[in-house]
Amino acid sequence: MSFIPYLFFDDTCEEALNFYAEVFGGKVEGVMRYAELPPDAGEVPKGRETLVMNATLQVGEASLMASDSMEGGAGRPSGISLYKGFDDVERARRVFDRLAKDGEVTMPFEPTFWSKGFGRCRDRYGTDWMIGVDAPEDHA
Amino acid sequence: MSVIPYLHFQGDCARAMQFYAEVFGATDLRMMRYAEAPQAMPEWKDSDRVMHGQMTLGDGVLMASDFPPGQGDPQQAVSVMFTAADAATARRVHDRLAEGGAEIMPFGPTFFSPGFGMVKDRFGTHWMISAPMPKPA
Repeated sequence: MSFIPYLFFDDTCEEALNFYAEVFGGKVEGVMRYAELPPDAGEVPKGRETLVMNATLQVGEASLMASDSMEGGAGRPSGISLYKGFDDVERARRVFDRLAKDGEVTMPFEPTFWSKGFGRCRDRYGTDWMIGVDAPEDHA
Repeated sequence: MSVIPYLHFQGDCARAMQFYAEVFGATDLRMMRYAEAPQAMPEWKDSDRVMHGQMTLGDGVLMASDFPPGQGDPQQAVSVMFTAADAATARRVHDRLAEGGAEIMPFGPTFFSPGFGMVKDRFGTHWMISAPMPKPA
């Protein structure tokens, strides 16, 4: 049982998940497209048939789920970030730098009063990330 | 180590997290206020806005904060997905979250889940609540 972030994109879901798979070293699984929607589950707007209805990014035990919004117009993500913690400062910094490339750094990756390394950025697909180094007791 | 949803509120964080802790049965909710931060900015000193809060449920962690005093946008384009241990629990969680909020998709069977519903709760958080999904063939 866990809380899984579910991201909505307008039409860049697949590209974004492939990028995250590369950055985190995971795998995109179970890609379903709107063309596969059962007939009684709604009508897909023309031109959106090949977009992603549901997909999961699996990184070890961690999952992230996402889709392109059925009608489009998901808008810019706001009011939710995704936190991913690492044990190793250099690994966290590397992930942060890759996510921030062509995106926007909102808080540079550096030591803070709560973490040996923490940074925040909005990636090129609009997702707001918090990348940090977990304190040892977080794994208790 | 999972990817953890981090919710941002505009002053409602403490009330929202207390409500979620009750709905999901979490017992370790911890919150820190902006006023408690080392080197807190002067305009934070009188604020009861939450700088960081978190709670655990099973293997999952949910984190949240308020935007700094005076800032904030409503939540958009991200939901939190929660798969309950069984269908009855999923329905109960869905119904509780919908209290005072808006039902986006009523809880019921779908082609992908024996029980699934979507809610925007009274604090503005979007939830997808599901019964356990059948294993892919």
